[in-house]
Amino acid sequence: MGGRLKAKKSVVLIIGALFIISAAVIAFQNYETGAAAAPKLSEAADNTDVSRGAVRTSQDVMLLARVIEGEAAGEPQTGKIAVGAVILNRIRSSAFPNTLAGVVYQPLAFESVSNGQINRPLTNESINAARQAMAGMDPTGGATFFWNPAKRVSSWIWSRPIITRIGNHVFAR
Amino acid sequence: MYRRWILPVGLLVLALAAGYWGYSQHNENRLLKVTIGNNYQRAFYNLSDHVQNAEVMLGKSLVSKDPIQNQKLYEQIWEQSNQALDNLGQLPVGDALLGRTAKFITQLGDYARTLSDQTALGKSTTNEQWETLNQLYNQASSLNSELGKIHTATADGRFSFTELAANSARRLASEGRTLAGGNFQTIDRQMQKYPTLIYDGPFSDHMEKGKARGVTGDNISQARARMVAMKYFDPDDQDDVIARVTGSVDGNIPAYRVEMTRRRGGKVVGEPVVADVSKQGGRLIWMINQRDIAGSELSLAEARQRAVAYLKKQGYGSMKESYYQRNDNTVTFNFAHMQNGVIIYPDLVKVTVALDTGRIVGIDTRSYLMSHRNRNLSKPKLSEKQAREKVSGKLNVKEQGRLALIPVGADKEQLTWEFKGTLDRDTYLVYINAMTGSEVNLLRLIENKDGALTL
Repeated sequence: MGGRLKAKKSVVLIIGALFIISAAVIAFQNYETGAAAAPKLSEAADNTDVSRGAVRTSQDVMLLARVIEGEAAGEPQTGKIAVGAVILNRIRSSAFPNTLAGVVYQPLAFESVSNGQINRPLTNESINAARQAMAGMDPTGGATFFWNPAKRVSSWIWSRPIITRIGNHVFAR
Repeated sequence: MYRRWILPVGLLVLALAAGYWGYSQHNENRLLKVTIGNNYQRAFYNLSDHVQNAEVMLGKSLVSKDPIQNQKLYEQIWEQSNQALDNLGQLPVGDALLGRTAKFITQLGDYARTLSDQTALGKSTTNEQWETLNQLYNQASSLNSELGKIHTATADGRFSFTELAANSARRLASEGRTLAGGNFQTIDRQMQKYPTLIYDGPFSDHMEKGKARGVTGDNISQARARMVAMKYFDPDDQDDVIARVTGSVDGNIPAYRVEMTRRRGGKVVGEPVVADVSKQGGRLIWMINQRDIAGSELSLAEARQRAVAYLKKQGYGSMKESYYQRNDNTVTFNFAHMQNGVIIYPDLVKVTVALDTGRIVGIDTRSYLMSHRNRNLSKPKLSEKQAREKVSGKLNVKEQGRLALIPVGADKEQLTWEFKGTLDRDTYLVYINAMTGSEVNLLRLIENKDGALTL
């Protein structure tokens, strides 16, 4: 009888311990996503980055780099620059907000913005891609939409005229 | 004796703690939802406000006669449009449904701004422009009445932005247009009924589909595209390079996409070098060689020499450097075309040099291809001395002015005298119209350790 009680006790103890651990983990996770993880800035990013005719502060470059990192982390460099170019094309387009933050934070526009992925640490590749896009490089030929055809997207998006494909992304007007 | 109670009591405490935690999370969640909902409400109210104001001002502009009054109205319409657009972009409605409305608001503001500029120059509004304003007025009224319906629906509890946002986030991937429900679909349908605008401004329809002036000639074959790409590629000597056409680009300049893979000793080295070559005329639009660049041994002067030599080799005669920018281990130089001693700024080519080997790792000729052509440049009416007198006395100008053709407005160009001057710590570039002496543009120059850049 003592043996059975002992076994029951240890089972309950283990369950209790698991409970505590999982509660702690969940609480900790919630706490962390509540506070935005600040992107790590490399030294190269501290410069004021301006181009003719408009202010392009290093903050803008950083924001663009974060979206590029969020949306195109696994893409080749050309694909990263392309994502940056789409965002800049949207600013220039009459159908979208006309500031960088307006385009980036437009609700439902970018998945990585909606799910907090853009708050991941930055890589140098994304920062360089952001700078090149800001300097005017546009491998998309003027696209304002991009998506991953392997993922489910609305049929409306598929009706947009496609310009080209880079890496895993399709780019359209 | 007490040992029996430790476990059940311990578990009870745990259960209570978990329950309390769950309850406080739920509360926090609810409050967050309310805050988000409030934000959407604020954006929506602001949007409605600004569109209503714009409508009233449009109406006034239809019946106002005094040019000063008109100009004020146009400026105010522009301001209201900017703010309306800002708030529109904060609503949780996909851009599938907001695009046409955003376009209307943007073009309304842009059009009003061009009319304001026109009035400032003393020209009155034409009949055609009045008709356009009338059409815009009707469109604004239509938008307002639809927004009003949403207001009512929100007040009646039939519509909630928070719910809309939650649904949209969940179903975004699959449903696109049908997401926002009747309300925003109706708005989009109403807006689609109106034609879009063509006028002299950057957001005009014809500007978004600009034609590349520098792209002329016959269509080329894929083989020729490969040749062109190879010609621009600046490889390290020991590499074997193979070029392939991997796709088509149907953008502003229809092009072939060419990828060049490097082999060393039979094995593929690094990422492929990518380039776009225009189908018409076989012009290289851009090239990116994304290899890892180890260090930066080269000096700026040496890098510049390489860039200049490369451009000459590729057949870009008479180009003048206008600015440079350093990025980690590369330097990008901007070159503008020179014609008869005049710097043609719109015809811009960017060349990126790697600072370890001095090889060219990037080139972007899109601006050049969009605007380059043989221009008939008129002779300046003002001399350098006369133009200098038109520059503000507050600016300390030491160097000689030079002639420059700069872009003005959406797609016009103007011959100007360019002067560089300082005021305290700031350096500026002033552009004086070479025909009339008016100040056409003013740029601020920023020189830091990574580049000489103009603002």
